[in-house]
Amino acid sequence: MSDMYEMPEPFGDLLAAVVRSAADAAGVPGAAEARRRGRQRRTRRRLATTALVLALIGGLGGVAAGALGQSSSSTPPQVGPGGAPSVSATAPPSPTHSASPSAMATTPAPPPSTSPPSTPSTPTTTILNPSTFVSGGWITKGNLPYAHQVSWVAGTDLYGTVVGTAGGGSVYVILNSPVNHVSYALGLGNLCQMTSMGVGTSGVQVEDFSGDQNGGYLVNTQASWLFAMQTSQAAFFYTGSAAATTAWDGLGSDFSTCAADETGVDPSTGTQRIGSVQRTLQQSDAQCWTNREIPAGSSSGGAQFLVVGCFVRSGAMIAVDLVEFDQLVPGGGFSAVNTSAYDDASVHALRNSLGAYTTSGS
Amino acid sequence: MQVATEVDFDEFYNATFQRVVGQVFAMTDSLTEAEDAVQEAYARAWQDWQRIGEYENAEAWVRTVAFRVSVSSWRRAKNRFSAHRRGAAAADLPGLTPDRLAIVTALRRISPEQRQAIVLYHLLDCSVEEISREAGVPVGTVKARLARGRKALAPHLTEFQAEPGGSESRARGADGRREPCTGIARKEGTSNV
Repeated sequence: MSDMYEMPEPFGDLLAAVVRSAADAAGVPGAAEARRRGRQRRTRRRLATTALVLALIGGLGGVAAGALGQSSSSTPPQVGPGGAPSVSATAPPSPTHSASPSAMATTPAPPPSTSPPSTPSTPTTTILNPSTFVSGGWITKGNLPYAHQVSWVAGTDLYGTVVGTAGGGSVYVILNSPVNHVSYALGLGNLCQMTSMGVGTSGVQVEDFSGDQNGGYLVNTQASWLFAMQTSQAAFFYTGSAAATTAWDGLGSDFSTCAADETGVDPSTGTQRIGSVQRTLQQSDAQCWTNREIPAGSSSGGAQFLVVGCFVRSGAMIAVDLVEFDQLVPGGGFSAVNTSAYDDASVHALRNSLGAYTTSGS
Repeated sequence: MQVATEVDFDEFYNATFQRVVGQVFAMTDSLTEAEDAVQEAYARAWQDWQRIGEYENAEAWVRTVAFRVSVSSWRRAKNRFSAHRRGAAAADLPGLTPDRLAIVTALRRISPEQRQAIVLYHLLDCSVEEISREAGVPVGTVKARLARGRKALAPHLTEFQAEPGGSESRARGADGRREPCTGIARKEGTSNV
């Protein structure tokens, strides 16, 4: 059998021990009871079938009777398709998420004007409400990272309140929980915690996509495979520009810590591994990183996972885009991941996203 | 003839019930649910024992049905996220050592489908192709479930240490290997579960 998914031997042995414990502890109702239950099921099924036939007969009779009754009734029943009560067309629509952003500005908003201000103004930082959803701030499905290679499906695990939809997925917001902001929005490997990013936030909006079970592979051969595990876009809302600056400045340190934490004996597998990070792009408002974990003694092609991510900052917001690839066999094809093309596209998309948000609040 | 059939079924039940409960327990959420799901699976097997009893591997059929019954029940009863957050105890399997409790707790943090793949692969030595047949999903799906499950388990299994050889090695057969995979044989009608 291939060792593609090898867990440590203790895992298999412990799992076997757990299964034995459960088997030993299991109550055994007995074969006779199973046979009795089987007979009951058979009887119930027959009764249900009989009841269904009777119901169909009765229903047909009811339809006929209804038709006869309706012909003499001045007030036909309000029945919608499928027999469900119809809903008044004039009923007010149910509340939906507001698409019009509200913003909390630290400085008064300027009066509406199309003419430029007569005197230079000091740039102000608009503090946006993290519950405000701006549809234009989200990468469309066709423009998701590596969309030309990977089929993405919208994530279904939503760890916050849904504030809108974009690209076929749901954007959810997590409020007042810096730990959750980091845990759910920045899945940068098992041991990589971007703690700086979680300080001074008022909330974070997140949208996740998973690699399609059958279309999420960059490499998929009998011998090796590279799977696009997930991509996440997140918008971090900070309580002010200073907080965003602190987070921004802490990124390098956080990534260094990641590399250190990921290096050594993996306690879950017992294997030596080396974590490494690399800043692949640095601009005044943007930086991109890679984080990979490489089993010791393996070539770089043997990395267990690779995360590529870009961060773009504007005022009191930082937008993040991450993609995680998993490679469970050496030589699984990390070379298929073009990080430079990703960096350029991601930074461009994130700038547009932040532009949509900041414009909405101005 | 009926008596002979009952004897045959009873022998099968007695020889396999507890083993299947153990396996389904590892794939699902609780021992109680596993017991009930497995018993239900045997009841369904009895309904059609003339056919199922002829299967090359009726035990795999029962395990598959029990897993589906259990997952269906689990999905009805619980919110996945709250279940994940809860996942701290193995109240219905007392007496577990800390490392075994860690396994149980970690398994509760991943989806049932991932657990099924992990258990079949790591406990029963099933190949990806065999898991694909038993779970009724493409090979690629199995690979993804294994990868996701492994990834999700890793952060939660940091506490246990490898036990020195000895007691744990008894989980294996005389040749040092675990039980061979008893993947379900693709036969006409197996989808009727």
